[in-house]
Amino acid sequence: MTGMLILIALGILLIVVLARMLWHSEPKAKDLPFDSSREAIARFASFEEADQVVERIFGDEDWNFLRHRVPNQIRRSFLKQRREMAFCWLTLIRIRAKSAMHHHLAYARSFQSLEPMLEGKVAINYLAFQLSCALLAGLLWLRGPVALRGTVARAYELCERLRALTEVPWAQRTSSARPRS
Amino acid sequence: MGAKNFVCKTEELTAVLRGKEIMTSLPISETFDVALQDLRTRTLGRLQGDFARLVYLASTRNYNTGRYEHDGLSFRYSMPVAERVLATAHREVFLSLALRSLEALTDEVQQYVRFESDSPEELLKLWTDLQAYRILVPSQDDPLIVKIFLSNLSAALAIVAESWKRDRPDPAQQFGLRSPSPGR
Repeated sequence: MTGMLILIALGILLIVVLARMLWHSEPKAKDLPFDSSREAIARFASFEEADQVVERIFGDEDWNFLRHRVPNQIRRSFLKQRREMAFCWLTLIRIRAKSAMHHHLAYARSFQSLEPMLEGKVAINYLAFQLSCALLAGLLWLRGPVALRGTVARAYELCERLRALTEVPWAQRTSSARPRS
Repeated sequence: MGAKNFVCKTEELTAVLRGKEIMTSLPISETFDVALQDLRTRTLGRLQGDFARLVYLASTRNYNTGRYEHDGLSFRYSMPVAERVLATAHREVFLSLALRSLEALTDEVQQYVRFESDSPEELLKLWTDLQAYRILVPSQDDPLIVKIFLSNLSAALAIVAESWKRDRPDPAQQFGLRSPSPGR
């Protein structure tokens, strides 16, 4: 019985440590390999071609076309560039989610009538999103971006869901409730 | 004959100036739309393929100031409108090419190399060695999309160079200098 309790306690401790690690391993603008990272983030957040970007970076169409047509050196360089872009995309999407979460928290603090169910849902969604990102980063590191399209589509969908979840309550609240002074 | 020619030229010039007057009296947004349409149909429509359009639009940008310059458009509309129109068209064409598949981009490059260059081999070597294609990118664009474009373009150039090497007729064969076969 005591052994069982110790195992459960260890399991909970592990979950807490992992959650903390995820929470603190937040993406930073300086991780991006661009000269003007702030601008990159601003433009990434506003561009409308997200699906096509995902298609280009993670889709296998370009790779299938290229692989029998060029020497080995160019193939390697192409894959290396794709991997680098995939990590950039991942960092940018995490920064975007983090920024949405910060906005949501700021708004949530200023309202008196919080909805615990909704807040819980947002928190769970954010955690699931971070876990998906961590999983994707691991897969990218192991296998490269090609043939991971399904996973990325899910991560992108999750990010969109998070944005929808955090934006809609603000709109509803700003029209119906009055913030604390 | 000379007088008739002069009258024709004067009429032409008057028509252009009248057109310019009408253009400058329009609201800015309308002038912009008209100018953009003008650029698309008159200038860009004549070029073969989007890649040639991208090269042309990038070449209208002054490398020292980063501003777009086009005498015809500036004269007909105004300098700020011409600049905005060229920047918009540049971004449009760039985005359409950058997000296209590698196969489609390779076709575009192939077409450009075939029709726009007198010495394709030289062009391919120069573009690959000097990476001259970097100037094709608009200055205010998403860095990730720029990365995708540059990566795909360098791959497309490599593919075109390989196919060019394969398809090029062997000079010896071309001039009948092949050594005779033992049977002959």
